[in-house]
Amino acid sequence: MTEFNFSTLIRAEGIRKNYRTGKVITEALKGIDLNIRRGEYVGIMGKSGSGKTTLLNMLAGLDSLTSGSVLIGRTDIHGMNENERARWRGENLGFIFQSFHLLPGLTLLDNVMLPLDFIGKYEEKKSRDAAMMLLEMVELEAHVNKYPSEISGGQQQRVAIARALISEPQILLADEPTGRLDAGTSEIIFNLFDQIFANGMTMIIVTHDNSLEKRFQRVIRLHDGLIVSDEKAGDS
Amino acid sequence: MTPSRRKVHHDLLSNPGRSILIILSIAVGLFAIGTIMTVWLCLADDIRIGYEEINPANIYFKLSKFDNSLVRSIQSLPEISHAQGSRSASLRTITAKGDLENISLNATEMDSWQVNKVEVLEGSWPLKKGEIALENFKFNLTGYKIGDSIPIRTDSGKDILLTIVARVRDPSLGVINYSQVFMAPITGYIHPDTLTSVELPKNWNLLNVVINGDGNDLTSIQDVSKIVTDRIEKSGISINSVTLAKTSVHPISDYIDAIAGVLFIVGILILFLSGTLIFNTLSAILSQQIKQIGAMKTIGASSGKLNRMYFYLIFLFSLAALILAIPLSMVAASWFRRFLASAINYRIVLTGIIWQTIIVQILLGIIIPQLSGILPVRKGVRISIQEALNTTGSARLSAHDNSSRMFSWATRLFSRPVALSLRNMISNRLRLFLTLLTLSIGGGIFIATFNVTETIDNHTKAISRYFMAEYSANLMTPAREDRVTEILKTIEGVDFVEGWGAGTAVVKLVGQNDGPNVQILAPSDHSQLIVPKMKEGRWYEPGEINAIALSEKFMTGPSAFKVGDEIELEINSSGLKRKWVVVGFFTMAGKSGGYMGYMPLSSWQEVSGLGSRTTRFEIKIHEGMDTDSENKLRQIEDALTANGYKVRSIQRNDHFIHDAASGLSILSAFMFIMAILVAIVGSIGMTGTMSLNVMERTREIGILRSIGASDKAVLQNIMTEGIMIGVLSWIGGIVLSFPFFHFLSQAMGNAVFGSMMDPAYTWVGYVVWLGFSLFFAALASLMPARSAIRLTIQEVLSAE
Repeated sequence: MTEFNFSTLIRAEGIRKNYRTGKVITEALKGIDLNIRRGEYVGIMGKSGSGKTTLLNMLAGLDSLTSGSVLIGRTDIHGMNENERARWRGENLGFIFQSFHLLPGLTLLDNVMLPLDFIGKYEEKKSRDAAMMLLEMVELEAHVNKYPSEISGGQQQRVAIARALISEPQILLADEPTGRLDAGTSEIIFNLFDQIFANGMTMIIVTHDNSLEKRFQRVIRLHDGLIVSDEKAGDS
Repeated sequence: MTPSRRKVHHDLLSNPGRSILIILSIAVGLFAIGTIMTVWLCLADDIRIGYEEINPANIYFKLSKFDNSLVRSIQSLPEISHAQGSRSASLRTITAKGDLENISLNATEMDSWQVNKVEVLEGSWPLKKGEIALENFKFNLTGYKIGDSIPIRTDSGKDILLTIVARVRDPSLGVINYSQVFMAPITGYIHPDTLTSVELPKNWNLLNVVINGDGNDLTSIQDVSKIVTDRIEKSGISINSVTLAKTSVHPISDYIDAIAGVLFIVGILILFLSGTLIFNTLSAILSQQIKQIGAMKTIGASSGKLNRMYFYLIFLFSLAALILAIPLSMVAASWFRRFLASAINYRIVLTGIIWQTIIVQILLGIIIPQLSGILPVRKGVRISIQEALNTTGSARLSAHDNSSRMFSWATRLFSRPVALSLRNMISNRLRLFLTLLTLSIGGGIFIATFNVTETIDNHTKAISRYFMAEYSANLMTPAREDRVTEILKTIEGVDFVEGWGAGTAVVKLVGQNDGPNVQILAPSDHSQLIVPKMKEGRWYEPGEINAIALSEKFMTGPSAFKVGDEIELEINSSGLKRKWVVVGFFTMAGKSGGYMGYMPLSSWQEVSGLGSRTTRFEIKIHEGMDTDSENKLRQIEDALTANGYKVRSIQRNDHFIHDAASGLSILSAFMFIMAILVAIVGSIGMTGTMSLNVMERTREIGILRSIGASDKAVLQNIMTEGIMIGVLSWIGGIVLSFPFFHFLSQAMGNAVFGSMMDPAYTWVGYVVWLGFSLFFAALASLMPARSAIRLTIQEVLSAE
């Protein structure tokens, strides 16, 4: 049983996830219990195939559980239907992908504003001002009318960060956010994350890059679908 | 505008090739439906309204001779709306090329012309003495123009020149003497004062009557006909024949029914074709959008929102398709209507925009794409985020997938690139099925139209076997058969000659008062110049007593005859009345064909009172001789004239067959236009599907090239797939062509002949469609494949 108190924001209990490929069943998560407190900066680490992305997807409600539950605040996110979950996610979670997933047909500004449109909070001027502010924060204000294909990978990831923050979520989740970027660009991205964390955001970052370990407040290590260590900074 | 709406607009505009493809997929169906529906809606009304406007007669009395006192007497009857006397006569004219052709001359009072009015297309009106107006349908055959003089050859052999002053249209053309417009000869209209100039009596022989009341109720028409008959008989004038006609039924309405029936069937099939085409294209577009759907769901897009976005995109496609299809279909329909109007001799009455068509196009243009989009959009939107984000954009394959199993199996039979093409072809089975279905339907209709055309041509050939002699000479007075035959045999190239009995008679069921005028032909016993095609019953035996075979037209109408019926024939030349038994009905140019009857020569010789004398001679030319020569016609005329015989007409039977089959030829031409329309829809379908198939595999192409596949190998791989789809759809087309052929030939056969035509098949449709399928499959694969191989491997692999 995981510890719970009022500052716990995410509580995951007994998460299991199996994938079936033909007749073969693969256990990606074998029973994970996890609590994350409000304002924590958590890194989920492990080798390729350890289950870290699957765990993040379960926490974000991007994939269905085989068993277990995930409570965010008092919301059982797997108890909602797909539509309710999409809306809830749009309002409460920011998600950053390894491959950015910006919409190629929209300008950077439109990409950032798009979530507001989906959650029904789009107002032309307010939304534009908010998006501009975030694009300034990621230092892309000069490129707002460009399309994703016209900027570099690092710049695309900064736009994705701005997009993830536009709806003022409680939690920011990122799956290998620097996996496709060079060391210099990765540094810029993580500096941005530090800045966002400093503003009080709860953040969970999945990475296989051990060199990033020191950046996190708390590091959870997975191996073969199980948590093998859960350490706060300075514990080791 | 919201970002989501901007995304939709970007999706519409960012890939013009893809958008044009789907817009064309929608537009081509709307274009076809719009064209077909406009023609369908207007055809019947154009003909009906145009025909009603001429105030068509309900009863045509052919009388010996009468004057205006009888006309006034009939006009005074309360049951009569209009009565009009006219003279109709058959003479000959010499065309600008010097050919002798039959001409039907008609004269009536110019200032009181109320019934069967003609429409003046150009020139001056009313006519004066010495002037002639020519009917539009065969105007060009004369080779003259307005202002020229046309010679009319009188019965005494003089050529009288009349000045052509107008071109007119007579929608009742052919009703009375020829039963259908196509059989009517060159027709001219003259002032009554001109009658004596061309040696015709200045009195009337035709009484055209319009009844008061419902001109479409045959019972009323028959009742009035009896009253008028009484009045005529009381005045001592003999009636040669009576023909009844409805006010709103144009003489060629059977052909219109055939055309309308085919339009309807092809329209429904094209609608279905277009629907599957749209479904396929939308599915492909949605599968290209899967990753974006995954990303949008992650950042908060609900299914409802995504549905609205994609249905809005489909709506925009519809809008563009409508903007393209509506004006194009209006232009095509207008061309089509002009083609039919000139081919069938009617006036286009309905002008302006046909709103019903546009409303239907708008409804179909919006509803069908939205309905076709339901499944692909739902499938795309309901995909889980994980599946969406991890998809490669192409068909999702696994080691256990049937297509992969097929790949392993195919490698045993084919090279790996061919096996890969096979696997790719079946990787999206629903799309493959719909592609094959769409193309097979298109191919099926295409092939079927060729077979229907062949069936019609076959029927035309059957008609030609009634006229196997190259020339038919008609004398003004009966002559001894043996003498004329001897004279004709002296002409170079003549193989043999048969003297046939020929004349006209009024035919009616025993116990009935009226009936139509029928042309009687009596071939010599054991004639080599006729091979009849029976529709019901049998042909008479040589020498059989009182046996007559009638044309299929007798099987229709209010007093249709049956095999075994006893009928009464009154021979016009002798006035002899006798009872006959109908032994069978032969088929010729359809229900709209003329009233004709064949009887044994011996019977004719007895009832006509002519013995071994006859007026008609069938002249067969040696095989291989040039029968087109007008010279031969003159040689026949000269030979007969030199021996003191007066020639009424010499008919070139190839011309006659052409006229008899004209209606069928129009149907053939019409079917060909339908085939072209279907080919356009089918080829766009093929191009669309193949392009999308290749577009989806851009990544796979990159991988193939990165592991050493040459551009040629990639092209080969894609084109093999296209050609396999082309061949499979061709086979599907062959299978579907049989039921389509059955439906189309049934619709046409029932309308024109009252029964199915004997089916005939031609290889042309099969081969042409195979060519089409392979050409478009290759072209459709080649274009996107060339674009794909032009990209660098890096560009392709990072395209995701």
